[in-house]
Amino acid sequence: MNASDGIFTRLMLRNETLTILLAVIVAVVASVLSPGFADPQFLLFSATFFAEYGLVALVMTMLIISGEIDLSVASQMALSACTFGICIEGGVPVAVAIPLTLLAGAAMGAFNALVIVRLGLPALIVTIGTLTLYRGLAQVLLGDRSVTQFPEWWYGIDYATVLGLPVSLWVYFAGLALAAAVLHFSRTGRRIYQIGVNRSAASKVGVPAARVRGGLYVATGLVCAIAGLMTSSRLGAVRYDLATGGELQVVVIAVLGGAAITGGTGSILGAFAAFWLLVLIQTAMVLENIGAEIQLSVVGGLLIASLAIPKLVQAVANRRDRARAETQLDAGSNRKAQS
Amino acid sequence: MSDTRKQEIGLMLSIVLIFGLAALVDARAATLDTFIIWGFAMPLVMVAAMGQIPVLLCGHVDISIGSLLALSAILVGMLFRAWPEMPLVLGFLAGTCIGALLGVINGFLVTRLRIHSIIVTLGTLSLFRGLTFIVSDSRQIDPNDLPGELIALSQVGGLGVPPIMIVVAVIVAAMFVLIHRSGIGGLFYAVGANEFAARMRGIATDRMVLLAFVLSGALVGLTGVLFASRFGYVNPAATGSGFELQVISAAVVGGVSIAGGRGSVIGCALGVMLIAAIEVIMPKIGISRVWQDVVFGLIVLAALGIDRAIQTRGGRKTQQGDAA
Repeated sequence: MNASDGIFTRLMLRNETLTILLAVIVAVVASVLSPGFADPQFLLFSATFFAEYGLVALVMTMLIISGEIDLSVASQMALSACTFGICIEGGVPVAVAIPLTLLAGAAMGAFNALVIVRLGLPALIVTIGTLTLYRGLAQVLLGDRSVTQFPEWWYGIDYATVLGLPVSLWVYFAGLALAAAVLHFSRTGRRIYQIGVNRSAASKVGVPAARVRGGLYVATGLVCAIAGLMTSSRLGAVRYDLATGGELQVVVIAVLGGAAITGGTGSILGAFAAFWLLVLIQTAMVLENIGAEIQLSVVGGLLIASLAIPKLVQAVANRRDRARAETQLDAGSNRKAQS
Repeated sequence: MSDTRKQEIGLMLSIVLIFGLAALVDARAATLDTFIIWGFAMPLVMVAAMGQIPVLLCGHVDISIGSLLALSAILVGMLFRAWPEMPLVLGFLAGTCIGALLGVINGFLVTRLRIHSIIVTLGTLSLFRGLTFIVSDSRQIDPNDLPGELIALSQVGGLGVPPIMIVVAVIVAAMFVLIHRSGIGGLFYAVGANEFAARMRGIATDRMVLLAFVLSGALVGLTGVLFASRFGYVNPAATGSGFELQVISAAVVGGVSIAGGRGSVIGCALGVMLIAAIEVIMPKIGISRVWQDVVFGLIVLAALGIDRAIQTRGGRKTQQGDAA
């Protein structure tokens, strides 16, 4: 990107712009195709299906900005939810089971942090390992059973509304506000960007990189536990295979939102826009009777397209700049030849 | 002795140790029967892991392989359904070509658009899975859609071993020659060890990365046909789901470094054998299946720890030793 680029090029180079644009297009197309689509109440309710992933994607965005990644998030959700399930089954009151579950989530995050930050092993493969490990532990805890004997009031976080907004979305918006405050208006947030741009340089100027990175993994575990609890309430049942494959959705939201896997770029606004893009697109496809598997394909294609388009715009802009520079050069040499 | 050689010996000892322990716990566990089951547990992961070697050596990773396998397998299955007399060789060829073509897509996106391979293949993982449903109209390929000879390949025939094993052995040998005995192999190491230096030395790094993804795609496409042979069906949802984790774990356990530039074909093959041995032995010595994933997760973490220990101790000497 350089200063001579037009506003259009500069906007198109930001991943957030494209995501917001796509969301608007999807909304317009879907409202034309299906008359029932443009109903805010219906859309808000549809969003509750994705609220848990959206919530986890907020911390994932921060992780990716700092140059890290955690593929074990869906397994952490499952193991937390199973911890909650086994507590409830054992007669532990909900008021005690919830802190225990949060503790379990934080412990899983702390384990990831220990292996990745303290031992210095690559996050991608470590979290593929813990993805298997945590899912396996969930299976050890519950086997093939599912726990459903929650107290009556626990069910239906997606149906219960406060001031017209489903409780799931209240939790999501609270997380959104908190994440935006941390990432964009706090010292920790600036440190996250600094570490993502250049970790060793950041360390040299006194940024406690290990503490920030470790803290992010623990925060991820904690948020996964909250998401696991929300899922248990929404589904009304807990099994070891809860949220299987959810890591894809979470990473897609973060990356669609403009978080670059190489670290240093991304924003909460982007993650928010990407969340709604996914909600709109998947809801629209459900209304058009498009199966879940084909939706998956579209999400994958979208991920690639959202990454490819800014690169293509950049390439076109570069070529144009080069062409302009060459014509100027030619003009200059012509003048010289004439004089 | 190079560190790679030590790692290979360590893996071999681990496999012997596992069977030895199993025999101590329960004498019935270490019978010929167990070895046969062990043999059957390997072929698919083995072929796909061979394909993953050049990709990992280049410092990349291909996590789309589970869906790539399903898409190739379902297309070949549909070919057999439409044309039952199709020669088997053509089926294998078709699978390999389809896989290679899908590999070109991955490689192209990684090299031309400079998008990180994790993200590209995460995208194509879901893209290919969706395509599998679209092309097959969500219909499974049933055993009676597949020729009997294809399924016979995975059964013990007149040779005493299933013919599929010979295919696997040939592929491992071919990959060994390509990586360790040909000029091309060294280039993969060079790209992974230091891409900038490799480019300065005049290596067409992008072309090597593209080639790595095509090789991975081709071998996984072949694995798709082997899947149809082994299980006798191809299901658009279940086939190959989670396969990428098995393959990458096996390669990492076999000492192929995720950071690129380090690893060997023999080590990788031993990694596949070790994981298969654990998978087979656990139920035999009374460890419930529910513990399987926990054990696998811990093994991957342990393998990473060992890899790092070698890296910090050997430093740059190791990389030079391996490339030579």
